[in-house]
Amino acid sequence: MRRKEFLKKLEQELKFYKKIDTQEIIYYYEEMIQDAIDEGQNEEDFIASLGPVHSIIRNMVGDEEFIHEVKRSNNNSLTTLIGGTVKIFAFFFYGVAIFTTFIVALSIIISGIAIVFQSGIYIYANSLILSDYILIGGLILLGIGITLVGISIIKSTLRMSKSIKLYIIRKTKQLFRKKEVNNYE
Amino acid sequence: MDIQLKKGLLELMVLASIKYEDSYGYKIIQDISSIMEVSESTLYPILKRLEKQKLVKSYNTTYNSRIRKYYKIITKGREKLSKATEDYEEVKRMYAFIKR
Repeated sequence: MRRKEFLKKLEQELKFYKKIDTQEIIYYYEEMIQDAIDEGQNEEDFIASLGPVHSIIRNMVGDEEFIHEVKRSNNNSLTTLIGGTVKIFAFFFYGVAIFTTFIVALSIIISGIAIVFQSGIYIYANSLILSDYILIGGLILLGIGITLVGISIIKSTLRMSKSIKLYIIRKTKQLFRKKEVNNYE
Repeated sequence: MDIQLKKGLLELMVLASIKYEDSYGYKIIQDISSIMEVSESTLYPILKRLEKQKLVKSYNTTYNSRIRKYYKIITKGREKLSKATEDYEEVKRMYAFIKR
């Protein structure tokens, strides 16, 4: 990402935090980037090293003193009023996303098991020739493969559940903040 | 390291980095990062806080036809640094007790 794009993105995100001196933070990063370039660093590499804009802001507002300022500045804003609603919506979206993923993964696992099971029954119930065995062997492997895909979906969902939750909360907050900014502008 | 402890030490590190000469954001990070990891987004609130507590003062100066913000340690900031040096002996004793 180039400087102009980065600063624009930063400015857009900072808009959500009223009364925080957006311009001062922009100057701070502008100066930081220019100093890095003057020291021989590559512009894009340095900007990449700063991390994503939302992490930068999260880190800044993570500072107690700073968040106090943010809270104070947002006291009369809709954010305070809808804070609880945002959380409820975010957790609802999270619940739906996780539930859907699990249902899909579960149906994949069941389909896989069903293929294996049905192939087994077919072998058991019929007298087969070699080519049938090869075909059914392939089907069994396919069934196992599908089952494993389902299991790995569940495993990765569990592993990534925290990041998914954070992502959904962030997106929901953004959605509400956009509304808020529009209402105030 | 404990977040609160790191935060307190970072403030002192920033003060120490401008103890002998005034400095600017990028250089402060460069000076500190060899000892302690600090990101640009961590430094900004610290600088703001130190300024608000009147431990440092900032001023703008022209460098290469652009404005650069410098930070200068002032009396209260120097006092905080000396106090930290005094506290060090006490902290060392406490850690010796914790470690035993």
